[in-house]
Amino acid sequence: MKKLLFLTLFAAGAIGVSAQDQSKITGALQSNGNFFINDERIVAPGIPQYDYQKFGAESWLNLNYSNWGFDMGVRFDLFNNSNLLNPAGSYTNQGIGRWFARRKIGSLDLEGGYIYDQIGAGIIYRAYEERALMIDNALQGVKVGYSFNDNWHVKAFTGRQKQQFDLYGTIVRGGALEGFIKPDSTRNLTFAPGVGIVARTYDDPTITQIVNTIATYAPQDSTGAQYNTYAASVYNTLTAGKFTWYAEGAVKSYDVINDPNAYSVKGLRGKIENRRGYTFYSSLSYAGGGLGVTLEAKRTHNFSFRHSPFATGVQGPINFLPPMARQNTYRLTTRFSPATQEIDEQALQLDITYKINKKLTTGLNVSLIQFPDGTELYREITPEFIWKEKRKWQVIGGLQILKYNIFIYQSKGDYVDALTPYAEFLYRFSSKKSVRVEAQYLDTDDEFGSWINALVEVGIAPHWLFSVSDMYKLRHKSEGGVAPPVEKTKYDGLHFPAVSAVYTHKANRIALSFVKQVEGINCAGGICRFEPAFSGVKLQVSSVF
Amino acid sequence: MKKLLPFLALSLFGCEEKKIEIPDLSVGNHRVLVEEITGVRCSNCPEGSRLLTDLQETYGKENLIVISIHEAPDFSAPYTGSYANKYDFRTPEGKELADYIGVFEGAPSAAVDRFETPNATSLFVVPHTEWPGLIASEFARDHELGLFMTTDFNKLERDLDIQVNIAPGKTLSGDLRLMVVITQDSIMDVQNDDNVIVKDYVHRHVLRDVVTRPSGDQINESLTAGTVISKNYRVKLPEAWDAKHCSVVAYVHRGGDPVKDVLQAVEEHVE
Repeated sequence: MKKLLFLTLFAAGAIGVSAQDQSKITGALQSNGNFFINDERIVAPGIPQYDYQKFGAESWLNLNYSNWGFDMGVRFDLFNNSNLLNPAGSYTNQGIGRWFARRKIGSLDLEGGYIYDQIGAGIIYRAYEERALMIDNALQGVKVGYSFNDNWHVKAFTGRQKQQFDLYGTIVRGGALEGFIKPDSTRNLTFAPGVGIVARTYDDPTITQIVNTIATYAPQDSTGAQYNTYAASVYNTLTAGKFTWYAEGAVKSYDVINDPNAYSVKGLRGKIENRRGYTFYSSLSYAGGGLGVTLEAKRTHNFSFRHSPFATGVQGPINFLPPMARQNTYRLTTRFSPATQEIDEQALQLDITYKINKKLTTGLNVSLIQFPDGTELYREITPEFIWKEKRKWQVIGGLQILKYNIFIYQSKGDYVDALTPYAEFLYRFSSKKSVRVEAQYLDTDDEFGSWINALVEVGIAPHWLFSVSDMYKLRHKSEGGVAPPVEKTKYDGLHFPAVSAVYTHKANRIALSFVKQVEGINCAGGICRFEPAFSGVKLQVSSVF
Repeated sequence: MKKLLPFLALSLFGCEEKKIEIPDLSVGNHRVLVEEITGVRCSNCPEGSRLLTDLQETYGKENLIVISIHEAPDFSAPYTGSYANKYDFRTPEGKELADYIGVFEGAPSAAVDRFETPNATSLFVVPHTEWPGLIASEFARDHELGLFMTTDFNKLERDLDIQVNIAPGKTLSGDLRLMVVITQDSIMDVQNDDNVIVKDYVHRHVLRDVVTRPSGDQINESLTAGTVISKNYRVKLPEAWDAKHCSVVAYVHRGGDPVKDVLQAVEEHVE
């Protein structure tokens, strides 16, 4: 009924578009179509899209309308035999994925519907959408904001977060006070402080599940439980000349969380515990004189904050812990990405770029992620250079030196030690025509062994982009006449080619590609999940209007 | 602003809440079935199996019935080479059964009475720390369905006769199905256990055969209070299966999609 009323209002508003000078309709469409072509060499059996469905699609259509001081929006979501929710499963559903209405009345800001928002860096609360991982935890509720003046603003919200077309039973409420201070108008010194609090109330089924679980524990492992958990954070961005410093500290009251590595007195691994937690995150940046430096540090302790202690992976997050590894872009440098650890993690990341002259820029990225006991989880050291020869051509070269705890991140093996040199060459024939060539070689004895990848991309501006690439699995050699185990050699000698054509016209983009993709980890913002191999054709359409 | 902040904080945090009591464990008339997905190459799966063994000791093996289906995708093919498996626990029927129950979303993974938990995307539940709570909840349910089984094993011919009696205590309607499977316990063979290849790992409750259809045999008789419906099956146990460690598990479940709840289960040893 509410949806119908809203749609009626929306339609009524839309009809009056031409009559209203201040009215505005905007929108966006994103559609993915996947045609699955079975390849028994790389695709595991039993995946319905390959066995019999053959086609899967996802689509999101946003329409936003502004008039009479209102902002309204509605989004239609569609999933047809989609492998996005579970890469090995099939999900079909469609309907209104989001609607909202917002009104600003003087200093008051009112919003209802499905609301995306965050507090600080998201450590205690973030409602957001990450379509590649099927994360959409918009809060279905209300938000009230009030601006005391141009610099100080307070907001409060309550509701339940969505899961696909359903809602979690848990109720979330919270608020934040944020400001902006510039003590001296003559100097470049500003503060952007903030304080936020969020409370989560478990619903009865979740509490029943928790207490029933605790009831099976030995008395020594028995732990309390409560309906309500509170999280608070204090944060500030300080800008002083060429320096920017962001710091956020957050604490969480007792919360029943799942610790997969905790041992019970019976020696069983994995149990739920009622613990308090904290997270500290800071980022210090300097930019000036051709030098750019960013140093980040993070310490997390028992900061899983979800709708249920049994929700894992991409399911049920209330907050977001900032990732602490470089955002790599090449096919082989992204092969081993670290998932953010919610129970315990300490991490440092240093990123330096220095422009030596007009032609040469150098860079270094170092990411170190550990458990507090010193167990190494992830270490990446990547020196890189960029050489630009006027606007004619450009070369990027680098070396990724990686250590990756594949046992913690993917529950197999122990560590992956890998060296991945990479290079990219961009040549512009004219202002409209260019060619880009990239190559990487991943050298490792671990997991499946070494890979090589090469890509050629031709750009014909402003409309066309064509690319051809191939990722090849180098064959293992027998050592002393003993063949390596089959799980290491299962992709030996296989090619994973990709061919794509992209057409862009203004804000519209159509991409058609034939892809064979090896199994691996897909990450966005430190949230990762395993994705099986893909074989087929992808059609992607996006449009903003 | 100064007045607003304390009000905001109070409204968000509220007062101290009443303490939650942890209930005592109890077992009712309903026996609980766990269908565990595992594989010899699955390093995390033994952790789930150990938990189930521990819970069987807590509730009693006759109350908590476990079937281990070796169909974890990519983790179930036998090892080869110097640490090769003696057995291949995979069967086409096991695969069909696993596919029928739901989507594998990681390991350890198990369906508890095929009960669909709120907001779940599969009947197979991950993480395994969620299983004890679900099992306890399932013990509290009672579908008022009696399920009884007798077995008769001819050692010479290795013929196994199974009779399952279904005795509803109330009228049950809808698509109800009977499943009968054979499991074998205590098989020593290679297993990846927490990333260590263990040659003498003891495999528990291994699914050996599905006697009925993997999606269950439809019960066409009406299930009204006081009636008893008998179903008979005969299977020949292969020589390679140690009969004294074999069991027959029978269970009645709903045949919907995704509603496939197990209403009652029973287990009997072959010998």
